[in-house]
Amino acid sequence: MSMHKSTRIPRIAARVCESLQCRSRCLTQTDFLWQLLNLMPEFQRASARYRISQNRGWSAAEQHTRRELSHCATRLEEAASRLVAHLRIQPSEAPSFRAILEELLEIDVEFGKVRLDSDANAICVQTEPITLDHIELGRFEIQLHLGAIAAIDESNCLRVLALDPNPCAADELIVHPHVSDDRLCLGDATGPLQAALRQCRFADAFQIAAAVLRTYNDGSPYCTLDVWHGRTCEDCGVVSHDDNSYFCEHCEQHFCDECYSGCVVCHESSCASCLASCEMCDERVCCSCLQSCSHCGESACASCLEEELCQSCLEEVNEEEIEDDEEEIQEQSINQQIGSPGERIHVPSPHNATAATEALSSVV
Amino acid sequence: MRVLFINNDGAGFADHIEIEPNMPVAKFFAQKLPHGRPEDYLIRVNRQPVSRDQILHEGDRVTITPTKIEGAIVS
Repeated sequence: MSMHKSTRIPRIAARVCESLQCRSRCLTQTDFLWQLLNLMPEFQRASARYRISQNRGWSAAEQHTRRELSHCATRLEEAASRLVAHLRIQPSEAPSFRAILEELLEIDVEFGKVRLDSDANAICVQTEPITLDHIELGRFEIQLHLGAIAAIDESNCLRVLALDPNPCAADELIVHPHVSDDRLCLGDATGPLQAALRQCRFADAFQIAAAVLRTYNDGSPYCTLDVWHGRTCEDCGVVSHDDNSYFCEHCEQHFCDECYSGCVVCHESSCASCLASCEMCDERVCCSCLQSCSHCGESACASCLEEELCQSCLEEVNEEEIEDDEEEIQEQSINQQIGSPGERIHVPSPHNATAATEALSSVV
Repeated sequence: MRVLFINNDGAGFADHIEIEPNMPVAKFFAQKLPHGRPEDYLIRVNRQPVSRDQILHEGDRVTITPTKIEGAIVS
């Protein structure tokens, strides 16, 4: 086979062996145990601080110490997991050069070309372009980090990079429904991948990771594919599909249908933030349709204003006018009574009927 | 006869197992994954993809890997 004649894969195999053997020598069972034990005093101190702040009712301190304790507990859990993983696996010898070479040759056949990223100390392969539910997600590079594999640091063994990224609208770090920030959420693949990595079955590990990338689980994605090209509402943060996302021309932002409405006067659509509220009827109106009452200056929509006056000011003005009329009639009647009693009496308006009657009776 | 069986389905499993001599791959698959469909799996013998009627031999390395696995966010 021409593959065997190539120097590329044997070179990579040599580097992989070196990495795994070197780390195996460095990290023994005692190391994992010491890592765990060294974290214990810190955990106890954090625990004591949290208890004190809790007992004394220091709410801000309690919040801070709880976070601190949670952080310590997480580190403790990780150290314990590494130790457990190290204890569970068979005390196998480091994989032989031949075993690694066979793995790499298999990977090279199945994925096209295997390469070693010297900086990341990782073996890498590329997938074919992946399309899920008609969404083209492009090719992915799957990386197996040798340092993490040797240290049985399972959370950092695998990285998945989008080579033709088509991230979802909500978050540019989500390049696949099950990949965020270069991390693949393994789901059902967790067990078989861990088993494959512990036994240095790299070809299987790559196949398992690729199988996850080729599958869409709509029950637990970072972002569902139906809103992949959706847009985040600037108001409430909800991601809406393009069909249910609206563009406000006033603020030039996108909004979901819940946060987008129209002016009740001119019916022009706009986001809720760009619409003002009529102080009279509480309806949402756009700025162009919002006017001020010429009397009190309050903002109101066109339908709540009459002769540039709001309803209460209009009533007030009408009352004032009636009073003025009454006063005028009264004055006229008095003047007529004093000045020319024989003159014809001015017929009063219905509003001034009372005053007119009084004036007439006094004349008679 | 003994073969090395690597099952990448479920929790992951790799061990030497006893099987009857001259067993075809299809029968082996049906025994080990009775509820699975062969077209949903990559079946390799000695690191090579094989047809369903391939006969297994002593010491063969049989690997079965699902071609579709559901990822999920860890809660």
